Amino acid sequence: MAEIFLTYTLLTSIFLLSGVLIIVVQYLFNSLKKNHMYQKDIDRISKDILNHNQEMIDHARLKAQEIIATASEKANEIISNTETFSADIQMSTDQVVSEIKESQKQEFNKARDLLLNQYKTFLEEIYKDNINLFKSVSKDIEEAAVSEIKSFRSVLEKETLESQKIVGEKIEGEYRQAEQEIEDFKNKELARLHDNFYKITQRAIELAIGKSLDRGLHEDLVMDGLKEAIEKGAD
Amino acid sequence: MQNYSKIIELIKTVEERNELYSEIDLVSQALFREGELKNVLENQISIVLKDYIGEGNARELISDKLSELKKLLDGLEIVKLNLAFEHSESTVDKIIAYLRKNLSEKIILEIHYEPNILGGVIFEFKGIYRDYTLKTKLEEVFKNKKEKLFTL
Repeated sequence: MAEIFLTYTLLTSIFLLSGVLIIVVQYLFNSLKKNHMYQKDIDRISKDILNHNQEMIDHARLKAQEIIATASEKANEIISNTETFSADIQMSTDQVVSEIKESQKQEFNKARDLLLNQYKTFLEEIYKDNINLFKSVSKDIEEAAVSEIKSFRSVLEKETLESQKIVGEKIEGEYRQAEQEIEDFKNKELARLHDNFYKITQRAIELAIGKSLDRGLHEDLVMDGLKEAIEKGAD
Repeated sequence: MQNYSKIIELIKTVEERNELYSEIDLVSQALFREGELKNVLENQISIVLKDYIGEGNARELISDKLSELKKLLDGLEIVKLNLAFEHSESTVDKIIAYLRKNLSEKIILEIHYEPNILGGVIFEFKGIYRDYTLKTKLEEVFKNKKEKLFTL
């Protein structure tokens, strides 16, 4: 009885589970289908965007070409206008310059003639004045020269006397100095001679004494020295 | 104390004192080396020091005696003498006897040989310098009576 119940329960469970499985499979199938459709839409939209972009780029390029062509045309026009204008200016300037040159030349010629005349007159006047001046000055010069010569002669006489005096004094001074130097040298040499003689004599005495002293005398001299040292207070 | 005075009597010059210092150092070092002391005492030191140390003394006693002696030697006073001749032992004896009697018992001599002083002595003691040489005396004579000498 129990086995029949168990079998029945098992079969029922299998049936229910099969139903659930069928539902899940059906749901999955539907989802895949939808997904496929969405993918198609995405592809289509991407394609549209690409096409649109390409169109925009082409349009921009055309527009740019047009602008460049217009600008180039305008520039050419401006350049040709400028050249025409420059040629006109050049012509009128050359004419003006040549006119000014001519006028200046005439003016300079007039001024030169005028100056030459004035200069000539001025020189003639100076010449006349100088002749008069030289006539009056030559007398003054003669007087001044005579006076200068007189004064020069007296100065020369005075200076000669002074120089003779100075030279005389200088010679006398140098003579005195030389005399003093000779005296000093004489004294120095004498002192040196005395000193050498003194040294030689002292050395001779030293040698004589050094050789003449025997040990006994040496010891006596030492003992005398020590006594004197102690008496004078060596301690 | 008798030992000290005996040893001081025998030390008359700086050289002798230096020799005794060396011997004291030798014995001091041997005190701390096993078996060396006997050899040093018998063969390497002077009779003066040997007599001073004595025989059969303990190491501590020897060490004390050496310290005392060193102190005594340090206290000796030096007289420096410059002599014109090479001194003999008898000269030293004569000088030391005179100085110990008239100056101080602790005197020892430092003698220098300087033949150019001709004779006499240069004496230096405790910063005092005295020149009693023949050379100096002669120089004084020549200095004072130079003119007189040349007029002779």
